[in-house]
Amino acid sequence: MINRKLAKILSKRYIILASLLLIAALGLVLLPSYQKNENTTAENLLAKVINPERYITSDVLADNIITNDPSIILVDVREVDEYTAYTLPNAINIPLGDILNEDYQGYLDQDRYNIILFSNENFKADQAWLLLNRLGYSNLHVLNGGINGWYHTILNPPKPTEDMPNEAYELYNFRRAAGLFFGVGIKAKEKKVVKKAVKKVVPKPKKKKRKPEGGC
Amino acid sequence: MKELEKTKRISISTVLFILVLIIGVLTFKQPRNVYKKTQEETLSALKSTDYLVHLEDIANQDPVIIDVRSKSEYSISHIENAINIPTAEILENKSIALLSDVKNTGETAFIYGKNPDEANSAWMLLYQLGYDNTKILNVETNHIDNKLVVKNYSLEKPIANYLEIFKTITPEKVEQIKKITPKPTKKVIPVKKKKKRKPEGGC
Repeated sequence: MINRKLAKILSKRYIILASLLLIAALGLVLLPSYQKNENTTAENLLAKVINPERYITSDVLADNIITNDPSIILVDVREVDEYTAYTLPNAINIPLGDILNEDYQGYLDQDRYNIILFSNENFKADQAWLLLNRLGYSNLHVLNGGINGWYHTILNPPKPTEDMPNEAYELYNFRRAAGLFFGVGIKAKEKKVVKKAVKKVVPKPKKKKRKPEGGC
Repeated sequence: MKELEKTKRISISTVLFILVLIIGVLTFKQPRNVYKKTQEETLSALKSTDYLVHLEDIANQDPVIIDVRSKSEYSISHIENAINIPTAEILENKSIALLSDVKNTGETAFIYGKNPDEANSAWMLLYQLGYDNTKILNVETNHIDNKLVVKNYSLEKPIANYLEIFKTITPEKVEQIKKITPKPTKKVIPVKKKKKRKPEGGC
């Protein structure tokens, strides 16, 4: 009796399995449309944002430029007129508005060179950095402080005061030398105004000659 | 015998197939944060500077203000009614829930940090995730005597006349100071003439 029932079901087993698979296949249609992040997830991007490695200091960059480091590409994201006025040596100009242009992707999307983005400050360079990182590009860095920071550290470094450690003086000397390398003009030394020492004349009271007095 | 083996194989493979399907459905997870704006849309938003707001502009409203500085800095002083969400925690469930609330009520959230640079990253992330009701407060904040001093900030402003530093100043010709050597004058020692004393009356 049992055997016969089982045999009945078993005879339809292919139909049952096939219908199960069909239902599962139809279920795929009902699934919500899959939303996915291309290239980088927001969480990964945030992790990169927090990582201090995204910034490069102007001292390190100056050293890299002076030693002719072949692995860096400097990208100036300021406007064209600012770029023509002054830029870092060998920098290419990609204004922030054109950063997603296809013409420039060859420069930006590669993994051989370190790309260093800079603007007047961090703001625009950061924005370019975030946009490009969302595209999944690697080896992107931002020059910390931008051109303004560059000016305050390399071109016009603050003189260390006497209570600073020796390293501060070494850093200052390096920056001065780097500044000269990048074409900072040599300034004339301030003329020292030497006051002529005026001889002090102490008037001596002259002794009055006494009139000859009559003797006694 | 052959027939039985065949059916066995078929049923095993089908069961396995269905198992895989079930596991797939159970582990299906949507990414929590999905970009709602493309890069191009974001870039066009960056070009218009609507997202930068000065402090005066929100003075009369009762806005939602988000402080992205670290907790310790927030605890020293902060703008009144500001909510502290450090940049590192901006994508945590709590913060996202708060931001969605703000978005649903149609309010605007203003983000500030030490300077707009600090608020920038958080804002850009949130904007791309679709929270386009967020803006950056274009201010610079400093602690002075444990009080927060908020100043408006001029972004990306180049240093005035910074190109001056490349001008070489040719040192002016220093006029050689002629040494004026005083001519040695003959010293004339005047011989004092002895005055003849008048004869005085002796005693």
